[in-house]
Amino acid sequence: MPQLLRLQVRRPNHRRVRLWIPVLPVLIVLSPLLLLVTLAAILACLVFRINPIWALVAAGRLLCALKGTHVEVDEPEALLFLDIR
Amino acid sequence: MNEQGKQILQMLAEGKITANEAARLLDALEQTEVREREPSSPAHEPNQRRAKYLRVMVDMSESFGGDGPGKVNVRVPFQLLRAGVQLASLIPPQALGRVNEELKKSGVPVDLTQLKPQHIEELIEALDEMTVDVDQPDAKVRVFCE
Repeated sequence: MPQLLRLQVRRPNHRRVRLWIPVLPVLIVLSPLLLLVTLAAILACLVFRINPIWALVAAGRLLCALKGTHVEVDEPEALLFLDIR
Repeated sequence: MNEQGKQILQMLAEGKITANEAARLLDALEQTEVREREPSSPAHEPNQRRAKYLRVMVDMSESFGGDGPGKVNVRVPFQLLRAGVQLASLIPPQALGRVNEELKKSGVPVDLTQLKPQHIEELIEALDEMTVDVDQPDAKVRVFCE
């Protein structure tokens, strides 16, 4: 599972924004909201006749697979940097 | 002892070979068996060094496009590709039909209903050996697996 998310954004005429987001603490803080989102997702799965367990497993795998993702677009006018570790 | 070892001893008993020759043959046979059992034989190396990421690197010089020099560096884990296909396989066929229509309108005629997790494994294996190098005076593009 990813542990740290590094994000940098720079737009024309704006200051550069740098964020270091520790994933696990953020997930713990947002856990009540995540619980609501999960319940809504389960309901949506039942409505659309999708197995909710498989859907949750697949979503969890997708989240875990994000580790190692690196996106860097550096141009004179803008910068986007995303690194998931 | 296997069949070949017994044959060597039989030849020794019948006097067809000397004791020294039998010992050499048995040694050679043992070494062959060890090599066959060895997990790190060269035949297994490609599987051990399987690529984990797809990397796209673009370097643009000042003259490219008029916006000045730029750099794009993207690394996508193959695991993300696998997880995405698994998630896509849960989408109902009606929804996939609509997605296909929209993709076709956008000029990407891909049939997502035909995309199965086993296909993605074949694709990743094929991508493993792929390298794309575009070298122009004002831009360099590299697509490879690592």
